Amino acid sequence: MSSEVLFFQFLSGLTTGMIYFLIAAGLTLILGVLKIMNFAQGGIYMLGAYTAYTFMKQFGGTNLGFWLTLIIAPTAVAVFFTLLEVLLMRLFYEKVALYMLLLTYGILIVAYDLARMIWGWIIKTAPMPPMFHRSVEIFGRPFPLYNVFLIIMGFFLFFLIWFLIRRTTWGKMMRAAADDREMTASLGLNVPLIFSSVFALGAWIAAMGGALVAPMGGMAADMGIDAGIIAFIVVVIAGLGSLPGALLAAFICGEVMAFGILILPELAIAFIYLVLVVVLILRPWGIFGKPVIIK
Amino acid sequence: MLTKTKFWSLIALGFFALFPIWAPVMWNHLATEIFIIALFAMSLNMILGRGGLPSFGHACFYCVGGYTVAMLMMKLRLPFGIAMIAAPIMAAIFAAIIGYFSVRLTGIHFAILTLGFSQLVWAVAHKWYGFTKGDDGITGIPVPQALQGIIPYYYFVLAILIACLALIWIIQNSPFGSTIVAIRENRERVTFSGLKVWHHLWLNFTIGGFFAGLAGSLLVLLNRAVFPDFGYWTKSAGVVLMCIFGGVGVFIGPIIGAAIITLLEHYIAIYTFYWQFALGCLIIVLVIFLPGGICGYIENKLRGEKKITEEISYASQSGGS
Amino acid sequence: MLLKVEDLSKSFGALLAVNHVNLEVEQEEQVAIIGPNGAGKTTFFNLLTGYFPADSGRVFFNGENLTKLSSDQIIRRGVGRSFQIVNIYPETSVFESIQMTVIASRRKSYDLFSPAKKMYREETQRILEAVGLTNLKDVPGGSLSHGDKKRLEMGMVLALKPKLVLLDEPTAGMAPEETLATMALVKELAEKERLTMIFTEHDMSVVFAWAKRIVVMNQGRIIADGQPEEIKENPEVRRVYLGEKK
Repeated sequence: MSSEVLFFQFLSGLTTGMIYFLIAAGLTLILGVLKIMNFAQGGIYMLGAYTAYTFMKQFGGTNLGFWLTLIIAPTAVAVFFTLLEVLLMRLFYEKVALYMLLLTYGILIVAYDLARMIWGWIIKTAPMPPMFHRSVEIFGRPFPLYNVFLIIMGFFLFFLIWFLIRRTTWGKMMRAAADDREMTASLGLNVPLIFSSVFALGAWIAAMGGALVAPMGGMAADMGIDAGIIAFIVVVIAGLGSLPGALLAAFICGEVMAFGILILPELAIAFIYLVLVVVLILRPWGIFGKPVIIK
Repeated sequence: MLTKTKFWSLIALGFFALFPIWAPVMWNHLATEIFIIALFAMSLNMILGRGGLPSFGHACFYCVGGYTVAMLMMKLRLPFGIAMIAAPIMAAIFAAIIGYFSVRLTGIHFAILTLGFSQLVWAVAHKWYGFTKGDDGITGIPVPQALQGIIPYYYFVLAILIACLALIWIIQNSPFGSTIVAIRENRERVTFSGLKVWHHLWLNFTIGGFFAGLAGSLLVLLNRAVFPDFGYWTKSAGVVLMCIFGGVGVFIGPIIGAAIITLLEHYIAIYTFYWQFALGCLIIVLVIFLPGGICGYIENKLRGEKKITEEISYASQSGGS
Repeated sequence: MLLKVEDLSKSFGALLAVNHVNLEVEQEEQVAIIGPNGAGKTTFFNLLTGYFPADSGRVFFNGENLTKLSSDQIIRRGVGRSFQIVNIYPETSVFESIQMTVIASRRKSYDLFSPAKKMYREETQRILEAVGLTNLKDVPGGSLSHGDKKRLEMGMVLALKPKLVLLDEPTAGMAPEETLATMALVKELAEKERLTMIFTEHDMSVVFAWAKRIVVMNQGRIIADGQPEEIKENPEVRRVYLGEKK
């Protein structure tokens, strides 16, 4: 197998990995700070994609429309889900984790049917903005410019969020609330507000991921269910709450998929689960997670 | 001695024994399906409700049981009896392997590991066309002559269900069962009573897998087909939901949950394609208003008055100790 | 000699919690370990019962080397332990909690088929009476008063038929009358069941009233070991507890 083909697979894996990262990044925040297993994350991603589709179509598939959509669509979806968080999920923070799991699962399947009700069952593709209607040449082969854009956007978002978490006051408050809820509250900080803002950001990233994926095609309500699982696998391999870990784990999964397809095309997806299982057996708290005492 | 439990059990038994005589055929089919799913839910509750471990990969064993029966009968042309015995054993083997690694963890880590293993099995079933026929599933499974009608099969499944419920009841009320409950309430105390906690949880997990495999094999013979989504994570989440809906703390809770949710799915599906929307809303309502599940709610209502009298009498006693 | 502790040490990072402790306890002895908070008493118990591994040193029980064994293995060899923060089953009734522990000690926990409710009822009743909880036998553990919870825990320890009993601050959080009652019970049980007992305390009056042998720990080391009168006069003990100058 020539090195060009391998490099191409590597790039393909990079693209897939970046998509996985966008889905998982929000979840790692939500899981790390709010400590909830948000099954609905995949649904947010999916609705982000569909909403972006509608906006892009409404704007006539133009470049300007594309950028406007990227501003509006994820925000709209994030606002919607943050409302859900405030109205419903807040009730469950103090309760047994199982109930939150079920609640988010319920929201996921409601979102699933909602998408089918509103947008129908046919697979959709959002219009590709004209500026990306070409490819770059890499080693003499064409590679979609849009994919390059996606990868760059992914890195940009990673640094943006990393900056927010590590360098702002808000980020400090968020980390404090993650470590010790009661202490933070007793210091006078509004913990529910912090939680909601973290949730909003997590939802926004996922919805943005969906919006970015919209022109790439293959949109169906099922993508929410499948994405939900991928998000979890990435986050758990990374270690709950680690953003750089999520990026790395997403890449690993992306490359495993890309090269898995070369080796055993049908079972490529199984390789990801294999990676998950191996990590959980050897290091149950993930690559970058904090060790959990196991009796 | 005719206790309340025994009385109501006999009534229920009588009802279900006579059911096919007056009920239309379609209802027989549905009832048989409910028996099978009830068994599946009961098998999960051994791990979830009694053991306190949130397994999100239980459908894996259901799937393994189904595929074992299908493959033994179709590929190896083995007789029905052998396939039916092999299926739960195979599921138990898978449960033993997966359980060995999983029961060392708790809470969310346990949930994810069981989910991961289960998805791995699903992925293999879904994609390994050569071995499992992938997406197409295995169809046209030959059912033995004696069980070919819906009524004989109904009674067959009912008999197996009753036998399994009896067995599960015995296990849950055995010293082993008490140990599992004790582990759920206070692991440390159990360790400091000289017992290996993870060992017991492992055995419990395996037993749960056994019964799930049996349920899977029964469903395959009902529908004469098996598909990879027997093992998809949404099926695992669904059965967790059934246990919680019915009530994890009550013996028949999972059965009630399985029955109601299966009935709802069927009837909502008749009226609309969007039954998952309805189910999702139901889950949300349930989780907010009925955390103990239906049985828990009923039990609380019944216990309400009893508990108050108990607390008064305790308060008057404890003054002197 | 029932228990021999040789040069036992444990550090947590920079903190030397248990510092080369040596201790010998004979059969049917009752020893009190006292010391200010943070002296290392609970850590010492944790090491003895395999809660975490020691950095160095050895523990011999009944001639056997316990040092590297896990908690459940140590308990199975005849060591019983109660905890400072009482460790019981919150939803299970008093009777069933003790019954469950009897079942565990008789190695029946893997029995899948016998009816658990009918097993070892007389034995359980006997223990209930011994700890004075007969009236409360159907009450869930979590609903008991603090003192009763401690009695329940003691009952569960007894159910294991231990040769050595470690009680970690048995009277913690109790009012004076309850403390008296609890210590009387402990004393009675020790004598009736012929137990070897080590208990930790930091209430001095309790200890001096009830113990025949006192071991004093401070900052991880044993600074004194002897009879109550000797201990009272020991200058280092006085310094540690009463702040007297040497």
